[in-house]
Amino acid sequence: MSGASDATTRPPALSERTVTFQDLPDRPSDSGDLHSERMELSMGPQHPATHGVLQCKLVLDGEKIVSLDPVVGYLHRGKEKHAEAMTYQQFFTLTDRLDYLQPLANEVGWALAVEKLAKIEVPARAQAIRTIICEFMRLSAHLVWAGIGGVDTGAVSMFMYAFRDREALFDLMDELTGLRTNQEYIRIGGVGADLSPELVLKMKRWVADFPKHVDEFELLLTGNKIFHDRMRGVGTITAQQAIDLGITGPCLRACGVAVDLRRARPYLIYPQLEFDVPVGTRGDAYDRYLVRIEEMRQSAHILEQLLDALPAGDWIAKDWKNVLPPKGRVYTSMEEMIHQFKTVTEWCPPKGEVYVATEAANGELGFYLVSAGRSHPYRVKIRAPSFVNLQALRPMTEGGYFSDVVAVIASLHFIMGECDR
Amino acid sequence: MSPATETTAAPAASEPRKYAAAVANPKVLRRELSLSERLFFVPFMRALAYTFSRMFQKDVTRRYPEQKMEIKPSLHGVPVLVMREDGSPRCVACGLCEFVCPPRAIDIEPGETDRVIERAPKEFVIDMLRCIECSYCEEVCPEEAIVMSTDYEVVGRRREDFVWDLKRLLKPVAALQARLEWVRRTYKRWDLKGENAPPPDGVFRDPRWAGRERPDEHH
Repeated sequence: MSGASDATTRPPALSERTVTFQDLPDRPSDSGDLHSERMELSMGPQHPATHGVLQCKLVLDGEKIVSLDPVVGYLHRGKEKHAEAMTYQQFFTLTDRLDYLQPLANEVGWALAVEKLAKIEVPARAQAIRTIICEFMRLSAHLVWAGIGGVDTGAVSMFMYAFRDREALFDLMDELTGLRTNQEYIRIGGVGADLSPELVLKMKRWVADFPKHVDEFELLLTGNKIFHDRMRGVGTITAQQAIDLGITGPCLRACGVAVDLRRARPYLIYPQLEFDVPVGTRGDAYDRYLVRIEEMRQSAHILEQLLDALPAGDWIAKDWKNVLPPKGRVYTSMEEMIHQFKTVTEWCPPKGEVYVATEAANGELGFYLVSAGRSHPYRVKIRAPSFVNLQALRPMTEGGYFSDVVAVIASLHFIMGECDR
Repeated sequence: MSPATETTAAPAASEPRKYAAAVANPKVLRRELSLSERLFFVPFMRALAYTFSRMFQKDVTRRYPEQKMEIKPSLHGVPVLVMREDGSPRCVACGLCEFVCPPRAIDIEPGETDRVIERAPKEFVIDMLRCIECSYCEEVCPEEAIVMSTDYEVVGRRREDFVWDLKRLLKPVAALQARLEWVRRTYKRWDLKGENAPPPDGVFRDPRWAGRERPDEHH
């Protein structure tokens, strides 16, 4: 009744400007099946669910994915090349920014590579502190994964609970290192500062509370039907496929392959610690979730053991040729003053090459280092777990549904800062 | 609700041999949803009850501009220069911090003075947009002249506001006391009994050279 009057007063009707159903090309109906026209869709690089700047070029057949083409490199900063123009100590600041969710774990990897080449003995206390912060960083990365993974699959409140714990963890790291993220705390031969007894107490309190918080995460996610429906049977990959692709870390263990470098090629003081390596059975997104949740409990268990029996002693190697001398003597003695200048400007490991891999939160983080006997590395190659794990995105998603891409990305949890380097 | 674990046998022989075989690894339990969970209502109410219970707990967030974070002596604020009592910088323009600075934020123009300590920076510039507050400069400084302050809020309207010159960087010792004590305590490393403060006048004195310092009037 009022339609005619509206037509005169309103601007030109919307239907005149939009494409109507009749404008669409005819469906290929002669083949008789229900396949529609294929659609190309670009997801990212600004998509909130792609964890940084990943672009996925999708070809869709209705809701089904025909092919997925990940485009990496938007965050490429040339770190490996930068290393050739930096001293060994300076490069720590760039390793922080690889996997920015676990900066200190990256630093430990680089320190172990340099120390293996230069044959530096690291004192027991420094090794214990490094192990502690490695496990804290694993928790930090897994907490972000739990929070963001929850958001990606519809459980928005998970983000708050996971980041609450992460903030408390950052407070501990802040007190230890002076910075909340990108700490620049590890030094060649040890760590940057001692772990005070008061801070150990605070860490113990945090670790004692943490398993309860993991139970809370499970209360919100594990028994949740929506979460089940989003994760179960999604992004399945077999153990053979995973090994062929070179996947490491929780994503490999979710397929049932029990490989953890903390056990397989032990470093730091992991051989002395008691912990389990949880494995999954089917290799789908839900298994990757369960494995990471169990790893959080195991990390808390490792931290309990370490904080209870932290060895006394030096926190940096007593090594006059490789470590900066005590500052008091630099102020008053010429010899140590010369050592200070020489160590900062001219320190170099001997000629040679070395590869050291550590178990980071996402998998095998390796540093391949070639030294020509100068104060700068000759070549550095970073084996980034995120880059390799990203390859699994295609076999995991192709043939599946479009809405599962987000769940698969959330369960793989690659970090583009590390992937692109 | 912790997932129960069951022990499984050693991995099959078809798996790669280059890794040490892990003997017993717990398999994470995949349980099917119970009827109440499939009906969604009970877990939904439990999660909701959990969320509501948080309302009666203490806030974990901070109202930032009003509530500042607690300043600890280990905090890395922006680096500043330590002032002597006469207002001159302790810095002797050796350039070690300039060398070690990973983002190359420091720029020093060295100069000479007529005092006992002959060298001093003519100009000392830190670009706070470049600085990553890593404290490497503080660690290498042989004069305790550059330390990390507690100032972590650096704001400005133009790029030039972030390029701090000597005048802006110089801070009296009293303002940096907590950090200076932290530096002396930490950087003595394994040398627990050693003297850790530099001489008050900054003049180099090796105990082995006692009485053989050059007198001031030579300068």
